Amino acid sequence: MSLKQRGSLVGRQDRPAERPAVVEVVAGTLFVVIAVVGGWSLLTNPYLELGQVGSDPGPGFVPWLGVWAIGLGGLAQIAWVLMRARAAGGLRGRGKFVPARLWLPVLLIVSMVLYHAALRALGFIPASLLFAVPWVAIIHWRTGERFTARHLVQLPLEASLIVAAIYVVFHYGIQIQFP
Amino acid sequence: MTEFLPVALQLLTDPGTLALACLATFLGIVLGALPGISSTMTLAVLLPFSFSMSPGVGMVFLIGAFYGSVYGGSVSAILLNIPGTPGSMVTQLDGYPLARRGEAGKALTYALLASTFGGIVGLTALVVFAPTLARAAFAFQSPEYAVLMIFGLSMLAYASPGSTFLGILAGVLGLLLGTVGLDMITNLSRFDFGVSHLQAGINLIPFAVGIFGFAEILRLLEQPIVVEKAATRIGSVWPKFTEVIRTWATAVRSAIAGVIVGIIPAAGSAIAVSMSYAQEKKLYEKTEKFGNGNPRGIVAAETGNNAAVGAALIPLLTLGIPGDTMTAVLVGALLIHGLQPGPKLFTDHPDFVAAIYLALALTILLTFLLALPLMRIFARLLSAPPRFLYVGVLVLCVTGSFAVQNALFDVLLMIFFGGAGYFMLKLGIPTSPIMFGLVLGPLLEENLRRTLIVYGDWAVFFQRPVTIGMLAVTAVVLMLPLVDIARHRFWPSPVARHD
Repeated sequence: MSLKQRGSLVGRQDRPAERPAVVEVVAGTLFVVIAVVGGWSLLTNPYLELGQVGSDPGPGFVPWLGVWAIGLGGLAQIAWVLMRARAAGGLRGRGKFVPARLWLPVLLIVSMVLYHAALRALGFIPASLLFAVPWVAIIHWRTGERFTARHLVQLPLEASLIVAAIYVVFHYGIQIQFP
Repeated sequence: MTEFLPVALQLLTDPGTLALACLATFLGIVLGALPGISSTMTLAVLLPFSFSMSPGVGMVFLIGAFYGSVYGGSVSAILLNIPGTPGSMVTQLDGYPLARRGEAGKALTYALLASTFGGIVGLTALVVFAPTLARAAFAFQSPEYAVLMIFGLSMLAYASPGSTFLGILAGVLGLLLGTVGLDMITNLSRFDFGVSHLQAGINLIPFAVGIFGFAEILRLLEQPIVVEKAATRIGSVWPKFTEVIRTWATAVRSAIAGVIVGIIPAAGSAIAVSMSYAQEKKLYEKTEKFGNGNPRGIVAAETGNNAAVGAALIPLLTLGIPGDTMTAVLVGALLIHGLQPGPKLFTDHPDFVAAIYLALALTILLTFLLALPLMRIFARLLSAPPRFLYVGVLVLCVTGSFAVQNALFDVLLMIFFGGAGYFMLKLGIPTSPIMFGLVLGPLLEENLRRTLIVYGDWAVFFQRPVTIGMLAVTAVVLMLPLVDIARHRFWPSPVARHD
């Protein structure tokens, strides 16, 4: 055993073996799920076999290779984490995944989907204003600053400024036709 | 390089191009300086603006933003003690203590001078080595290209932060995403799930904007946003000439280290600055203290960081392999303009290659000219309310994704990949290898199948010296996580054994 290895082992004696987090199993599961969905998509595509001509393995070859790789890789990840968990006496409840912190990111994702829908229904400027005004206020609140009567005017004005600036640059600057 | 002069003259005499270069450099410095906005995010968000430009002018714009953001990273590192970009994480060690002593101006000037010198060395390396490497790469045929893509993807996945194994799986996932849509040889569709928009494949821009823009804002929203107070006293901006000259050897050594690290695919600027700083610390360990405002520390970090910028363009332009996430976004820009990075770029579009050289040279000069007089303004901008920036970036993510093809479906893709990227990061899955897979995947598939069609079987990969060498290195890289697993399994720590 090298000196470096011995050193690291000595170092480890001071702290208990770290339990792997549940999210590490979820990460492996995610890859397995993606592989299953991908594999199902390839299996239900009857045309892919038609592409195998001569020594060309066909259009399904690389996708199948990838699907198998991430499927088996995902399984290996799950197995490896469970092995470590058994050695360490169980799994840790959470890693970087703290559900209590997720509500605002989830709200933003939902808002963006609604923004996308509103773009088609209302057009760029109204949809962007409907999105930007509340989010300027939310981020203002997130910085821990107080709301005063002045902000009733200032925040919508700032949101309008952002939308107007982006509209002008894209529409008049690079000739984008917005919905 | 006879094509260089007309292109240079054309670009330099066009006031519109020069104004655009100034704007891009300014935006790059400001966005790079703002904590939470990385160089990659800056590039991803500004990329859609380049659609309406000619390829050369588009590159002037993007490289301006790219290089500007790399310098901008040092501004927040020095004034706020928060690195604006990963490459400036070492700059803060000596920059911030200097700023706290009321010498922020000097620290910023050291960073600027070092950035300029590093940038010039990186540019020189690009001009000297890129054509030579491109000529060598001309000998490559489809087997070499196929293996090169596997090699590049493995290296990029390996070097990504977080779990190596999950990084490799993420790279393969990116490769799968690259196969979505119509197959280029048979025109048969894969993974379209009955959605006609997906038959055209996954566009790089909504993907990059989602993964590097939207996902970053989601991450920043998790916790209360802290508005840091910048060191407002800039003080004198000019250090003594003798003090500057004293650091010349540091600058030269760090520039060389930056170039060497920058050329290696996937090594990235963070490794370049760490190496440069560690090297100087070791050399001067008996005579100087680092970490308490030593200008040599700033010079080492910033020279290495900026030398790596030009060097990272070498594997991108000559082999088509992005060196890091920033150059991967640049690949997206090239593809939008119908240009495939690789050795053919040098023969088919020498004017474009010249435009890239010129863009980098112009940006280095503009950063130097803009940063000195605007130093105080940059310091004030750091205290601007984050709501402007965050909401601005979000609306830009939507408009930028839409602008690619005037398609609302691309906006939906951006939201999907941003959300997915955010949750993957929460699960500890690095997302940058997905981008590398998406960029390199189609090239890998094309060259792999072309090889099998032309040569008939797989044996060809084991009969050519270049492919054998690259496969061997790839195998070692791919085996490393397994070695680690075996080490933990068969030689567990004493505590684990005891349990």
